[in-house]
Amino acid sequence: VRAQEPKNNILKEIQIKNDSIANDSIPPTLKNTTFKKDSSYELGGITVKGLQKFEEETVKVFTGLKVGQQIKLPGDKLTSAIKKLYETKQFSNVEVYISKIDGDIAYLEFEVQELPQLNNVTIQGIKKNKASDLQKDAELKKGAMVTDNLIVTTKNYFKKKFQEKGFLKTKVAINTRPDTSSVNTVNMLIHIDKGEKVKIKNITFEGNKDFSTKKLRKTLKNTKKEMLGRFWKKSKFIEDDFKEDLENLITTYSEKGYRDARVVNHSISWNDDNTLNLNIKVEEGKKYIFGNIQFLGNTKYTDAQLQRLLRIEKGDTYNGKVLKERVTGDGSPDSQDIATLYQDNGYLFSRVLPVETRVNNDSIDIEIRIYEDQPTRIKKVTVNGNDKTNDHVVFREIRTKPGYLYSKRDIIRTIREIGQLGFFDAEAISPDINPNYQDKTVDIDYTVAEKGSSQIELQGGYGGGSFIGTLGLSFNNFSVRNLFNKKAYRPLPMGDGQTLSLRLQKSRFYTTSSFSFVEPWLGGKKPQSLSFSIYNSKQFRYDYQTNRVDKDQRLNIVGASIGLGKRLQWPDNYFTLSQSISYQLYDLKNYPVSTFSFSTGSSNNLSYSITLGRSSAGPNPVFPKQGSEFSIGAKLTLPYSLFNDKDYSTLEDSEKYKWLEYYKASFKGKWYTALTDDLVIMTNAEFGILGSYNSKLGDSPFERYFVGGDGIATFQLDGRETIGLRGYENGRLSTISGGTIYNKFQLELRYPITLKPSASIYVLGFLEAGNSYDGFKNFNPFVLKRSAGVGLRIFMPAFGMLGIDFANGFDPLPGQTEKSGWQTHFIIGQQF
Amino acid sequence: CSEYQKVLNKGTVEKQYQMATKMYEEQKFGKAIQLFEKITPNYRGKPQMERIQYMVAQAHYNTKQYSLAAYYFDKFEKNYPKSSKIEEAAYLSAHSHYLASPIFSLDQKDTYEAITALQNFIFKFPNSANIANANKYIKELTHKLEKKSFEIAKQYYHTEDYIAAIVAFDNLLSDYLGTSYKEEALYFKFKSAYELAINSYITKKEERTTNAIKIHERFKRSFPNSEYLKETEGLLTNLTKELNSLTALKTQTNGL
Repeated sequence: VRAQEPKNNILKEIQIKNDSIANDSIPPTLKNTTFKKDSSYELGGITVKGLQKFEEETVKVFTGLKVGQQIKLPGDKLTSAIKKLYETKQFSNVEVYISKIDGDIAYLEFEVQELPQLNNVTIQGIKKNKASDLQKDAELKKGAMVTDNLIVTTKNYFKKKFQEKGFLKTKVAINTRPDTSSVNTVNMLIHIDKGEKVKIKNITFEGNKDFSTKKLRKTLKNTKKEMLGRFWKKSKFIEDDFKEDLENLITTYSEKGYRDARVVNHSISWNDDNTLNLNIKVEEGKKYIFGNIQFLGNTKYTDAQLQRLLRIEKGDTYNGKVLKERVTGDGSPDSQDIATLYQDNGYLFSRVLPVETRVNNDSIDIEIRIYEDQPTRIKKVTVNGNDKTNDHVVFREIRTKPGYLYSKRDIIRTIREIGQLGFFDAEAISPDINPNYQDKTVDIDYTVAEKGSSQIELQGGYGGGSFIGTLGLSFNNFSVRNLFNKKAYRPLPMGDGQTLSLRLQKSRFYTTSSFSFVEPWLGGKKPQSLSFSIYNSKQFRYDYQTNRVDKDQRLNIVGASIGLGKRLQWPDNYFTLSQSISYQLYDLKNYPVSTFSFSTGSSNNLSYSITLGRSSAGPNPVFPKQGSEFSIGAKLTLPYSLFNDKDYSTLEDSEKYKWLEYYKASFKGKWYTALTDDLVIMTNAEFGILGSYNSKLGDSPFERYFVGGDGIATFQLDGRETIGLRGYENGRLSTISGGTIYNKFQLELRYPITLKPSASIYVLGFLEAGNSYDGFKNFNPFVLKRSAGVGLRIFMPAFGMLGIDFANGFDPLPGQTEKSGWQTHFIIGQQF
Repeated sequence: CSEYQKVLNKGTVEKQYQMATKMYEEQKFGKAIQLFEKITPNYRGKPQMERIQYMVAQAHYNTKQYSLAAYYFDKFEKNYPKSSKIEEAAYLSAHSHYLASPIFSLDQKDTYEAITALQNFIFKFPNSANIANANKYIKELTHKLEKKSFEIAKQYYHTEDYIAAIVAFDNLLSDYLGTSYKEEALYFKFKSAYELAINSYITKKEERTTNAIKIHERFKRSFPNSEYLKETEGLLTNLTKELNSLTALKTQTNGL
């Protein structure tokens, strides 16, 4: 069942002929005898014979020779002419003759044999669509040159394709027949007889004493015997997989201390019913334990420090794999081992090697030999591939800096943080480490690949009886300083890492517009962000029955906010602190709204908020696999009522809420844990409370929590916070005026289908519980509304996050008795 | 235009070739490129190909697609080394690379390619009328690379990472000997060393102060008339004072 070596006859032939001419050992064959060897002639003319499809002129051009030039016979010009003809891969044979010598003028004759070209391919014996797929994969294209090599490789390719699927007895026959419709072309007929699928009837072992046959069979991951009811892994025999499985078998032995275990031989026997039996003969050898473990050559770290990483004691079952992983690493970026310890602390040239020094009966003594070398410092740090993003934006994220000690950990963190910028393909950032042993320095070059980071939204729709138009632009890598630099428009001024977004929405009865800008490194000195936003909305009373807009009834909202955020160095540098001041003015004229308790008047909301956060989630911001996100925040207004001496019990609402007053506190925590390479579990807990300074005034009707549903914040009239809780209708877990306390817990299991930069897709399953409460006396963290469900997320850079969730709410909505049941949620632009 | 569409979609190869040449001569390069792309496979290995390849390259050049133009001129140079247009092609290839080179703060792949192409051109055609231009471009591009290196080093200085800044300025000075940024680089290197020394822990203060003084000596030697000297000499006085008080402290404590 081994694939045949492809025959390479034609190519070999060409090689030989080619060589002989190149060596000048054979002079061009003479048809005329007046020729003097090794002298120079003027080229008088070229003729070409043996042509079928090509024109003579074409072949002349191929040779690169020009009539009138001086040419040595034989000589390098002639050799290269022949070489060039072969290089076109159009000819199976090329010969050169001197057709005439006329004094100093020589005439050459090329005799060529053209290779036939492939016209039609017919594949028989398998399904048509399967056949065309295979033909595409085998690159049997119309116009390909048909050589013996092509036929043999094609045959082997098809055979292998089917053998890989378990059709071990596949037969492939290839015939070529000249095609009469065109000059020198052939049609190819491929006949495939894939036969029956071959299954494995039985797998037997010999020589196993300490391991049961059942246990050994389990170690063969891809070679399984036929068994009724097992459908997830079909029984088939594939040589390559089988070899891998045998290695796996030995690894399993060695992990249990059987260091000498080996497969003595294996044999295959065929049964009449198209199945086969496998017999594997093993030699288990002795079971070993670790003997004395010694560290040699360590000056920077003590034995005790190294032992803490090794975690292997004398007397433990011998396990070569674990020993290797603890000494030289398991290949993962956060491996905890001795080599990584040195690599993270500047010892780039260090080498750590576990050596078995003595086998004493059943115990093996180990020496960990350490060659520390000198600490290595970073010399040059460069970035390439940044075609749009300016150097300073990338360099400020790089943790490996010239003059500092080399550290593997810093490189890994740099990759993570460059990825988080969102300007580059997070999976394609690669460091190129160029050590210089002489002066103990290292150069690091980061290669990045830009990806689109702007989003454009242009919508027109019909809603609420009128046309609604939306224009949204968001540029995530903007450059404000190039706004007036015509040259920088490619097509927009980009590359300074600033975010600029604009949004405009208009319908017959309302208009909203907003603008925001973020500079992540104000002044370029420290990661201190400045954000600024303004928005304005105007709406008129709209009568759905008569389709009329009443311009005398209106609500205007104007808002602005300015914020400063910075990364902290203490307690660690994952912490951020942000503060902002925001202001809203609500101006109502004869406009009753459910959450407002007056219909004419104005209300001011001037607040200060502060948030302390810590985020180490990553490395891919769309699909974090590790780390956590925490934030604790407060938002508050001045306590006007405590010093303005007004009697709030008698005031009218429009006077009472002239200047809103409240305080809010919130806590959010998210953890990401990778269960396997791809399967990630996200745990989330959050809590929020809204309170008042003055009991006479009561809780603010603004800034309340609305729990339930998809969590997408819609048009915000009253500073409300929308808290998602899937399995329930939007906002329905809170009363109509909103809750003042909420809490929420989530467990979400995520699995990625693809994480390409063009589109990341993952599936998820979740359990959630949360609730909203009115006032502290009603708060009970154990009265929760629960739900569970599944969903799908698609992230595309141009559209942001899109998704759908199906969730079952187990509890009834407030005031109802029937449980909420299945709900479908569409997710746009937001992540749970 | 409709005739162009007809020929593009249904015309014979000869017709398409004629039309392509016509479009090219009428400076309708976009249309010419489309036609050329269509007929290229048919003319592979034929004598017309030399002309076609040259026109394709030139058309890209004229439509400001410089990266592509460079690619096609390079190809032409390689395929037709005996062409009468070879010198022109070599120059335009180098010039295309030069024009494709972006501002200093982006990836400089095209800059390096442009320098190589220009140097090859100068080497191959030392008597060309374009030599002066080629030399000018090389100088300009090298200056761009120096600026890149300088700005990165200066960013370390700006973000107050003085250890990184000193090494980065050293890299600039050793990578580009005789750079026009030498004076500024030495100035900022001294300033970095100064800040590092002044704000240093006592254990490293002496070493860093001595080092900063040395860097100043080199700066002064290289640029005795520098305008920055006025400022740096003031800083130097501070350093010498620091060093003196350190030595005094040492003698008092008997070198402890």
